[in-house]
Amino acid sequence: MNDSQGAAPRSDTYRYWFFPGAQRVGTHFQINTMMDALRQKNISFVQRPGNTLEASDLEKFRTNLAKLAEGPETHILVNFHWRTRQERDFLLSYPNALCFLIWRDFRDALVSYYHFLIKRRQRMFHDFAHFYWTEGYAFLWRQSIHQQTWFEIGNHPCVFHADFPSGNPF
Amino acid sequence: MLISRLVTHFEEEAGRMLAFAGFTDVDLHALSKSVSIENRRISDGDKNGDFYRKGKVGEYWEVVQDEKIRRHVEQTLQWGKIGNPILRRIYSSYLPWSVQRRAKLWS
Repeated sequence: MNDSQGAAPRSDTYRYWFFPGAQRVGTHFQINTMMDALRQKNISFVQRPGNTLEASDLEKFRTNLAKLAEGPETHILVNFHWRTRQERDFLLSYPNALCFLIWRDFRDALVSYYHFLIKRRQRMFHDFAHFYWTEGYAFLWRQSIHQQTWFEIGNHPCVFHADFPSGNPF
Repeated sequence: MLISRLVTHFEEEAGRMLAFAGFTDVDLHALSKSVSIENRRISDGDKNGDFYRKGKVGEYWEVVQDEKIRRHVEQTLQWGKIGNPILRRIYSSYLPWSVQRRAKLWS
């Protein structure tokens, strides 16, 4: 874990909490943790999945986020699989934003994605090999690029990475 | 094996995450109960665990026995670490264009 993460920012000055984790790595677990903590503290917040704010189009997202910010809530939480450098730099350009990431072995995420497509997307595969050669390999590329994008900035004071027991990734 | 400590050491890691966000006096034990997978399944009506599926560390090695897939996975993970987008493009040239666009390899 990077030491700069020990420097806790003031919660009331960081209104936007972005969760740009990769697919099937535990982003919902992470965001649920933060939401339940806010509930416990009786702090008002609003949470939206990025696709409801058109997060893949950054200009539209900026506009939609600004509208959302007109509300009375003190914190705004948004989760989306932002994976490009352009998207990362956009998020970090907000002076009052924090980004929370969580990581998991991509191989296990791949298996999770296999089950996710079958159970949640009603996709049919003959077996794992069928899944891998039609969907899985592209999923792995996306995961790798996601990691590369967020690791290449190293220690950033506004980015939190859920820790790795197996060593410092930086 | 990379797995988040948020899963394996919840209270410690959640405490660090919350401290990062500026909160230091949260009841982490209560928090660990409220975010447990069993609790989420009940609160979100996911009784079959379709969304909140209980995965496990190293599940991949049990599910994937095919050596050809395993080799391809390792190769892809290595290539994905390449930062230069032009080199990425070269190494990923076997991917269909639609996949390259979805992966946003050029950005």
